Amino acid sequence: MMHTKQAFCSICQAVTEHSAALDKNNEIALTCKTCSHLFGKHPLTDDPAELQRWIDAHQSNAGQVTVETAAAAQAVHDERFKKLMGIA
Amino acid sequence: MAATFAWDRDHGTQTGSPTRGTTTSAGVTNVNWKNSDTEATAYSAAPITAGNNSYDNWMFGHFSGTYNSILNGLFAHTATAFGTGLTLVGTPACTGDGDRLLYTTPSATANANLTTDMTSAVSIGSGVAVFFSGTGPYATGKASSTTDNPAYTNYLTTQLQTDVSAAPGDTATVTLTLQYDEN
Repeated sequence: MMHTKQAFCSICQAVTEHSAALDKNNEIALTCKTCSHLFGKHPLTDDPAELQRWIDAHQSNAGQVTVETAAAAQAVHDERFKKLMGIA
Repeated sequence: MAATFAWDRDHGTQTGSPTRGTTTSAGVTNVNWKNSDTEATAYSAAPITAGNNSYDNWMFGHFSGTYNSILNGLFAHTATAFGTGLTLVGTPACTGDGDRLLYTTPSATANANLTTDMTSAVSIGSGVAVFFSGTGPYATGKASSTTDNPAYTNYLTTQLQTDVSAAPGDTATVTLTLQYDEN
C-alpha cells in the first residue's frame, strides 16, 4: 500500500513529498519523490505522533553544507582572489 | 605532548545503567556496516541484503595521553558519496548531557533514534555536535569540553539502511570524521 508524507529531504534540502510504504521487514520506508533518496526506515508503530516526531527530527539536516557546495564556494573565492592579484 | 586518540566500539546485549555494551573493542580502524554485531566477523561474511539494514554500529572516540582539555567536537560523513539505495543514518547532535544516545542492543531493525541523515558527504562544519566526559561514552556528565583523562565522546552510532535498489557488492569507501580541539 503506497501513501505519501511530507518530510525534509537532506538531498533536496527542502520539505518534499515522500512515498511511504511498508517494506518486507514491516518497516516504514520513506522515499523522496523528487530525488528518490531513501529518507530512512522506522519500525512499524501504532502511534502517528511517534512517526511524526521521527520525521520532524530529520529537520536537523536543514542547512547542511555538502562537500560539493563547499568546494564550489571556495572556487568562487579563489577566482576572485586570482583576479584581484592580476593572475587570471 | 598530545592527546592519543582511538576509535572504540561497543557490542552485545545492553547492560548497566546508563546502558552500555557487554564488550568493547578498542582501537578499531573501520566501521564496516554488516549484518552482524560480532567484531571478528568479516563484513564479507555478513553482507546486508538489499532492502535490509546493517546492525547499528556503536563507535565512540577515546582520548588518553597528555592534554589539558578536549573540546569542540563535531562528527560527520566528510568524503565520498554512497551509491543508490543506501542511506546512512547517525546519531543526533549532542548539545546537552540528556541528548546523548543510550546504548541499545545492536540489531538489524531500523534504529529510529538515529535521526541524522549522514548519506551526503558534508563539510565537517555541518557535522553534529559531540560531547565528552570521563568514564565512558554512556556516562552522564557529558559536556562540550572535558579535562578528564581518559575521556570519551558520546556514542557516535550509525546504521546503513538500504532499499531494494542497492547494488550488490561493496559500497564506496567513505570517510567519517570526528573533529575536536585539544589544549
